Amino acid sequence: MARIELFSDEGFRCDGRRPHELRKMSCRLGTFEQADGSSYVEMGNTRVLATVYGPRETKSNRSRLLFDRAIINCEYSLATFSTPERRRKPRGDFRSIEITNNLKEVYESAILTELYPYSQIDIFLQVLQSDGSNYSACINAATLAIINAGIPIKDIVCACSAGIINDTPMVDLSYIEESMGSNAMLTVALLPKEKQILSMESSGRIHLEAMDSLVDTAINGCMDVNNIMKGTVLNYVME
Amino acid sequence: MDLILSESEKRFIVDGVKDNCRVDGRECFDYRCIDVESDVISSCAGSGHIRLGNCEIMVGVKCEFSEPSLDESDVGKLEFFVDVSPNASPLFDRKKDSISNNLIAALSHSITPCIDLHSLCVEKGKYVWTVFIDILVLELGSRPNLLDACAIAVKAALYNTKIPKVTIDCETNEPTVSENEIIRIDVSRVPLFITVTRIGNQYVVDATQEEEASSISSVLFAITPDGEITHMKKVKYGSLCPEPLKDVFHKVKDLAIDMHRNLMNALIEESKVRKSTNKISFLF
Repeated sequence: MARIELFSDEGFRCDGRRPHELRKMSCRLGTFEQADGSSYVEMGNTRVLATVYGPRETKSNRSRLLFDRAIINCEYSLATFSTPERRRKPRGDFRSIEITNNLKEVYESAILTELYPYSQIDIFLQVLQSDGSNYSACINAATLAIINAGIPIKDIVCACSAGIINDTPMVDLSYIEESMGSNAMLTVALLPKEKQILSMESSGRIHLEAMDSLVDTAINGCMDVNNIMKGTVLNYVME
Repeated sequence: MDLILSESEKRFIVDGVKDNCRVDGRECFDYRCIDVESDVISSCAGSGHIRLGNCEIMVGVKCEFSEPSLDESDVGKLEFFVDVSPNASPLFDRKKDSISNNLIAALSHSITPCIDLHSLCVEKGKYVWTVFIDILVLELGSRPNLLDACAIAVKAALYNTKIPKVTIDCETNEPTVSENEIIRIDVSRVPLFITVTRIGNQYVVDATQEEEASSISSVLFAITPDGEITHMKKVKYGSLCPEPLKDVFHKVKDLAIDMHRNLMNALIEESKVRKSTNKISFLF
């Protein structure tokens, strides 16, 4: 079988996008009634549900609570049917734990935790369908859920992935682009107003000279995502 | 999970049920509005999504090649897996396992015998299909209606499951996947579950969380479209009188036949619509 062409000479990617184009992104706030905050984010075929509970006191793990700020508890799970190959376990593998820890770090610095001493904020993420850039979709979903819960946060934290294919930097990689070959990939989470990077993670080999343009591409992608998220939040508030 | 109600709140619910009027205005044998959609996840062979009150469930069906067991060489396998997402309810951690194990047991007891497993055979003695039915609980309402909702979602997902037809070359053992031929799973005998909950001396279906907290016990029935009971189980701790239960059998049977008919109509309707408009987004 011929190798799929990830980037054509005419300047189109395998799903018909231009290098700087995001996939179709749609989001919704307040999907669940029971949770304090919830959201649903669709980036192309990657679909993520997020729920936030708290700030609240916990019955278990009382000893972990801190006297000067809230603790953040995250859990990331990938549904067994979400990936093309069926997964045996929804959580607990190496990548899930890594993402869980990353998310925790991001939101510990983004949420104004010092307002809620002796309490806990739970952020749960559930990937329903996985088609690349799961981590960035999760950050976007979690941010919207936190906003929905009314928890004070410094800014609308947004994230976007970028990669280099055929020497061209491109945003928001899909599963094929992520998995084919030894393409470099970078995910950036950003506080958009001050352009502060909260999380940055790369995989694959990147040439040092290409790094500049890759970071810029990812940040531009974040700003586009931020516009969409801002629109959703404003719409939700207007209703 | 366990909702704490005061004595007077419980009293209000019990007295209401006695007069055949529940807190949300339903009668004892009324369901709330059930939203079902199928074919929501493109990476699955079949999928279903249901919302019943506060309960929200997604089911994904995936098929894999596997070797048949030694004693039955021409039957496929059906495997259930239930995951209660942390999203569903944060208030319990260890109870999750017991909830999912109970669900797996009830579903595999009742649904597996009602499916023609011979149709899942690819090559006798060599390959069969293993159908994985993965149930993901996204939001947990009350525990009695969880199983009811699961069964509806599983039936919807199995209904639109499309397994590619595969033929095996006898000499080379090479499988060839047919481009346009598909196998569908016959769901005409798959049962639905109805859980009745005893509140006071009355029985109700589709109990809410508040009603669950003031209930004595529950009985679950798996009923086929013909009105046969394929599985029955009493759950929770309280005890039941046999006499009033006998009335319940008939009521539940009629209700189940109605539900089967409505569900199938809705699924057929939906599969017709799907061909013309290509629906992408999910969640109601």
